[in-house]
Amino acid sequence: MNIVKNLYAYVWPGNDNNCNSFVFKGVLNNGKHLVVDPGHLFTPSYQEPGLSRLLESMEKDGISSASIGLVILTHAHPDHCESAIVIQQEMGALVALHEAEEAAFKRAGGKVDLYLQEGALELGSNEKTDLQILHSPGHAPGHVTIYWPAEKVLIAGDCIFYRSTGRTDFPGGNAAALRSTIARLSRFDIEYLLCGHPYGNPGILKGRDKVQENFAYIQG
Amino acid sequence: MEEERIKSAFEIAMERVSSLPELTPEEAAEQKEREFKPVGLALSHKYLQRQISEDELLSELSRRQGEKGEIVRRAVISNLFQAIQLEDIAKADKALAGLAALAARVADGFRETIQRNFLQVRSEFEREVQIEFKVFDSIVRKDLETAGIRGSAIKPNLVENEKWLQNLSRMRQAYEPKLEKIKNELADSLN
Repeated sequence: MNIVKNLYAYVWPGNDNNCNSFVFKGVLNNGKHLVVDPGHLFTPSYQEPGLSRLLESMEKDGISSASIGLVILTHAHPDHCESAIVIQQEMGALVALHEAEEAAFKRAGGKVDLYLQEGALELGSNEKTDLQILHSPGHAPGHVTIYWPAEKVLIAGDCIFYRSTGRTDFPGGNAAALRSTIARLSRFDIEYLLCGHPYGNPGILKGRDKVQENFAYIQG
Repeated sequence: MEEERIKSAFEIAMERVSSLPELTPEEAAEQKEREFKPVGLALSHKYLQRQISEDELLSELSRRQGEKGEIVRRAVISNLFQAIQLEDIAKADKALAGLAALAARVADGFRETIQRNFLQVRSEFEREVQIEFKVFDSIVRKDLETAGIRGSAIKPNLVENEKWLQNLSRMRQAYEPKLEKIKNELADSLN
């Protein structure tokens, strides 16, 4: 599903748990793509194919899996990071995540190429895409969200869903930190809120009012 | 006819053992080595972990005399030598202090001289690593820029980068002769 400009969303269509994935098509030099949260290789309970399904959907949008140049992980839970290891090893893409998620990613068998921290991420040389990486702890200690100011897009990972929030009972989770993160994110000018899971809704909220209403509902 | 006595399991085992051939001197030495070397390794490990002091290490070694004591001492020395590495200054310093304490009849200030020499080699190595690290970081960032990735949000993970590990290994090898010289001085004092 094309969201805006060259940003595509791949809402998880299966029955088992897996994350939504997002792709910035041809945003890097040489037409390479950025993938955010490629998800599970296979889902844990029903063994539904995660990565192959994502790559097939991408191909339908003219996004070649051979041209993935960078994978950003919002955090290193297996339902977000597992496929990144295969993309890194078999397609030569770089993997980026926050340093506080490194131990979890290593436990899953991954190796970090780039550490992410709060700041600017400039992609491409000719047609630049300027993103902001926001350290957004709570669901995981090194959770990051990605804000695209030009198009007012927030890729929220597992911080916020449609009318709910990410869990904080995993190791490193922190309810107070998540509350602060959500309060901070709610102050951004957001037209597209892209959530990490399709819980009760695809997790793609379009329109400033809808987004604000969702923040208000969650913050009570 | 005399009735055959029932033997205990112990007696049967001892009969079997007595029928085995005697160990050759080499086998006997190997067995002792296997038995006492772990004691030396454990002692040196405890020392390097700061669980026992130099005095306690020396006292433990002096408790073990003869062939057994020699094996333990050799294992301690070998492990302390292995701990003299450029990347772990605290451990290397401890190992140097331990070896200097084990050295017999050394001139006054021997320990300080050895430690000073090590620190000098170490600081030269560290300086070179820092310079090379900066150069490597800028090369990697340039490669990233060529790929269209830049900004304050990214920091390349260089310490696990294959090329960096190769560079580090090359620099370490270049400093090996200087480190060997210090180790040889220590080895001479231990003979």
